[in-house]
Amino acid sequence: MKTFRIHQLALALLAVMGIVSGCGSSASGDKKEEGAETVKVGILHSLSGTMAISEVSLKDVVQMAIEEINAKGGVLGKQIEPVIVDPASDWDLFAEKSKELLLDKKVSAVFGCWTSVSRKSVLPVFEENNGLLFYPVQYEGEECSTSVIYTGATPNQQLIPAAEYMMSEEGGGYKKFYLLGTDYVFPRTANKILKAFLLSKGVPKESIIEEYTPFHHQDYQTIVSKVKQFAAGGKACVLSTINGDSNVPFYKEFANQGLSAATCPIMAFSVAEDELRATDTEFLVGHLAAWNYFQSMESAENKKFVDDFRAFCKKNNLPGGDKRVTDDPICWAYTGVYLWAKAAEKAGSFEVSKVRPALYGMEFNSPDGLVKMDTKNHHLAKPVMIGEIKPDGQFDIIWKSTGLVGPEPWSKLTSPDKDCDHVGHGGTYTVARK
Amino acid sequence: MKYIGKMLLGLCLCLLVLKNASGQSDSLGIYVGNVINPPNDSARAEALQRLVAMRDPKTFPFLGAINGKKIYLFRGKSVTTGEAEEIDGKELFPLYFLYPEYKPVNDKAGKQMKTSTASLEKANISRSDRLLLNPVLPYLNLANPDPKKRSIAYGQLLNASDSTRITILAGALNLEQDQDALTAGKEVLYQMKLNIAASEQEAKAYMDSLDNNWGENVTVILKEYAATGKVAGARAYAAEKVAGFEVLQGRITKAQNLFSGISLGSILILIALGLAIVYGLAGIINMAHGEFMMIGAYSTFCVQSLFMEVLGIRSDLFYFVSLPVSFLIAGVFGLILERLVIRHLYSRPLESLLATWGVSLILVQLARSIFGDLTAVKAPSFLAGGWQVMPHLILPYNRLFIIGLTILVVSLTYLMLYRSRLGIRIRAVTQNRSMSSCLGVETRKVDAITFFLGSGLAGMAGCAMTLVGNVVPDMGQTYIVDSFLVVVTGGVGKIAGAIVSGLGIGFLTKVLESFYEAVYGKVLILALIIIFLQFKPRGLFPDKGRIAED
Repeated sequence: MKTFRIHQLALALLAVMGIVSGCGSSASGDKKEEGAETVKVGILHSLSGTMAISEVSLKDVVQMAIEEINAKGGVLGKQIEPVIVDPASDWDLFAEKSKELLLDKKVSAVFGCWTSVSRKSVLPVFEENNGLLFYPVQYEGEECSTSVIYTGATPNQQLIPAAEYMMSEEGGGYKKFYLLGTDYVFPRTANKILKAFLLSKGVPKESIIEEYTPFHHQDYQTIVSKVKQFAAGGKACVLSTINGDSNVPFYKEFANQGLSAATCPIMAFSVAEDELRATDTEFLVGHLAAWNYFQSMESAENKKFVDDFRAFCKKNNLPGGDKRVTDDPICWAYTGVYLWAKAAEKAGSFEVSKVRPALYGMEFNSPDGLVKMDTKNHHLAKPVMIGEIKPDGQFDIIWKSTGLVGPEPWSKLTSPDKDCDHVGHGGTYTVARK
Repeated sequence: MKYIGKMLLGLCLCLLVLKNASGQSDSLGIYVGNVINPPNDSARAEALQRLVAMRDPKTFPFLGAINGKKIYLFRGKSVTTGEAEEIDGKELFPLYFLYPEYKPVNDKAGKQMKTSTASLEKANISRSDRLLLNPVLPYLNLANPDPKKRSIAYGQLLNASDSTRITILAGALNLEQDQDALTAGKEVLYQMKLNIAASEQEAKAYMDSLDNNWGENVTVILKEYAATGKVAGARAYAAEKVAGFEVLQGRITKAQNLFSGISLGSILILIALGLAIVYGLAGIINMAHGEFMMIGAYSTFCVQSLFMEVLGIRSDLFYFVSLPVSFLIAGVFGLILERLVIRHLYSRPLESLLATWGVSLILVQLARSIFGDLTAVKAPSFLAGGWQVMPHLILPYNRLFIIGLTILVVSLTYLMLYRSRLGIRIRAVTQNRSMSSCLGVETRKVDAITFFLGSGLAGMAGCAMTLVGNVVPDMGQTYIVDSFLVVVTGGVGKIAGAIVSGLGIGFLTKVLESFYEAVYGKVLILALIIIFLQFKPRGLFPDKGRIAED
C-alpha cells in the first residue's frame, strides 16, 4: 500500500514538473487563423528559464513597436499580428520553435534570440526555409548568414572602441589590461580580438592577462587579489565579459578588497541598464560600460522612446510598470521591427527574397539617432558610446564616437582574409591577398 | 632622514604660502566670476584656462564641481551640493559655497541650507570647456573630505606634468590626518623625488624612505627604478630591495590564499551543515536543500523591504533581524515539505532524491513568479570594505562575518546534537529507529524536528550568502553540487566530516585557483575528489561498527 502511494506521488511530482517546464511553450499566442488583413511575424524570446531575465524586455518592446506600427495603419495596408513562442532558454527548443514559426505559422519575419548559441541553433532552420531573423544583441562576429539581420554590435562597434578609449589620454591612458570573462563563446572570441588589438597597439604580452570563470561563478576572492597585484603601480584596467549573475559577486568583492573605479576601472561589455534595474548599484558606481545606446541619451527621439516604453509597460501591467528602463538590446529589438516594416513598404511585398535586398543601405531614425544598414553585409552602422555607472543605475555618457561606426562581421584583426558580402559574393568570402 | 623630510615639507609649505600671498587673489575672483557669468562667449574658456594655469589650491573645489557637473548659482555665488538626504519623502541636497572658501551655506538661523536641485539655477558649462580642466584634474580631490578620494588624488599627481606638483603634494600631505592616505601620498612623493634624485646617496635615501613607508606600490616603483633608474649606482640597490620584497610578497600571497580558503570553506560548511544533518540523520537526499537557502535569501530581502519601505527604518539592524527570520521561515517550509512529501519516503534515498528535486523545481519557479528575476539585498554598511592587515592583504569584513557566523552555528549545532536531550533522541532514532520507538521516543516528531533544523540552517546560510552573492531564483542550484561534495567527502552525517572536508575543499580550490584558471581549478577539484572516493568510499569519517552495515 505504502509503495503504491509513493509511486503515485513520484508520478504526480513528475507530472507537475512537466507542466512547470512546459507551460511556457503551450501558452503561445496564436490567437486567430490567418486573415487577409494581417501579416504574421514571430517573436522568439525566452520567457522562462535563465535567459528570461533579459529576453522578456525584448519581447515587450517588439510588441510595442508592432502596436505603434499598427496604430499608424500597419504595413502595406495590413495589420501586423505577432506570434509569440517561448523557447524557455533551451537551445534545442529554439530550433524547434523557429521551425514552428516558419512552417506552421508562415510568419514573414522573426524577431528574436539573445545568446549566440540560440542563434547558432536556429541558423540552419532559417537558411533552409528562407526565413528572416532580426537579431538584436551585440555578438562576437565571425558570422555572415543570409537569413539574419544583425542589429546588435559587431566587435569593432563595441570592443575595439572601448579598448581604444581606455588607452587614450582622455580615457586614462591605461597600459595594463586584465581580460576577464565567463567561459563561453562570446568572451573567448571577444578576448581573442581584444588581445590581437592590444598587441597590435604595442602593449607588451606580459601586460595582458586573460582569465575565465565558469558560469554562475560566485567566489571571486582569488581573482580579485590577482587583479589587485596586477594593478599595483597603477595604469591597469579590467575589460570584463563576465556574464549574468557572476557580475554582482565580482563587483562586490572588487570593492571590498579596496579596488575602485579610480584605481582600476572595470570596462564591462555585458552590463546594461536593464540588468542594473534592481541591483545594489553602490558597488558599481564609476565603473564603465560600452554600448551603442544608453537610456540617458539626450535627444527628443530617445526621450519619446523611453516614455513610450514606460507607458506601454504600465498600460499592459507588465512587471516593473513605469519604472522600467531601456537599454542597448531593447533599442535594437525595437529598431529591427521598424527596419523590417520600412523594407517591406519599399519592396511592396512581404516576401523574404524581396524584403532582404530592400534593407541594404536603408537609413532609419532610431531612438539612437540616424543609423544605416550596410549596403552588403546585413549589419547596422551606428554610433559607439561609453558610459559611467551612476548611483541610480543609469549611465553618464562620457564618450561618443564621431559619426557612425561601420560594421565588421569578420574582425580585421583576427580574420584579415575574410569578409562578408551578400550582394557580390553571397556571404563570407576570402579577400584576395595583395 | 625623517628630519630632512620634515624640513622639506616645511619648506614646501612656506613656498605655498608665499605663492598664495603674491596678490593673485583679486584676479582669481574675477576669473571665477567670469566662469559662472561670462560677459561673452569666449570669456569663459579663457577664464577657465587662466584658473587652470594658476594651480591655486583655493580654486580646486570650484574646478572640481565644474568637472563633476555639480555647479549652481545661488545669490550670485557658486555653490555645489553634498550627498542627497531624504527629508519628508523629498530628496534634498545640502549646499556648499565653493569660492573663496569651501564652506556650508547657512540660512538666517545658522543652519545649513538644504534644497532640491530643481530649484537651483544650474551653470551650464559645455563639455569642451570642461575638457580644459584636464591638466588640473589630478589636483581637484586633494581637499576632498573622503580620505580614499584623497589617496587616489595623490596617486594621480604622479602623471601630472607640471613642475609645481611636488610642492602642492607636499603641502597637502602636511595636512593629511588619515594614516592610509598618508602612506599612499608619501609613496607618491618619494617616488617623484626618487625619479629626479641626482646623486647615488640621495636616491638610496629615498629608496629607504619608500621601504619604511611600505605602501602598496613600492615593489613596482623599485623594480622600475632597478630597470630604468637615472642613477646607475643606485639601481643595484633597488634590485636588492625588490628581491627582499618579492620574498615577502610570496608570503603575503600564501596568507591571502589561506584566508580565501578558510572563507570559502566556511561558506561550504554553512551550506552543507543542514544537508549533512538531514542526509545523515534522517536518510533523505534532499535535492531541495539549495532552495531552502534561496528561501532564506528571499526572507532577508523581504525583511529588508519591510524595514526600508514599510517601516521606513534605514538601518543595518534589519540584517540581525533577518538571520533568525530566515532560519524560521526556511525551517517552516522544511516542516511543511516533511509533512507533505518526505514523511512517506524515509529510508528510501532514491525516491526522496526524485521527489525533492521536483519540489526544488517548483520552488524555483514559485520564487520567479513572485519576485521576478531582479532582486538584490543591500548589505549592511558596516560589512562593506575590509580590514587592511598589510599592503596587499585585505580581509573583507563580510567574509570575516561569515567565518564568525559559521563558527557560531557549528558550535550551537554540536551542542544541540551532543549535549541536549533532543540531540540524544535524534542520534538514537538515527541508530535504531524501531528500538527508539519501543523505548518511547516519538520518532515522527524527531524526524520533523530534524528536518526543521536542517532546512533552517540552509535558510540561515542563504541569509549569509546575500553578503557575497546575489539573490536569484536559481541560486540554490549553484551551491547544491558543492554542498553534496562536502557531505559525501566528509562522510555522511558527520559534523566533523563536514567541517574538515568543507575547509579542505575550500582551501584546495583556492590554492589550485591561484595556479590555474578558475575553470580548470574546478575540474581538478572534482578529479581529486573522485580519486579520493575510490580509496575511501565512505568519506573521511565513516560510520563504524554494526550500523555502518545497514
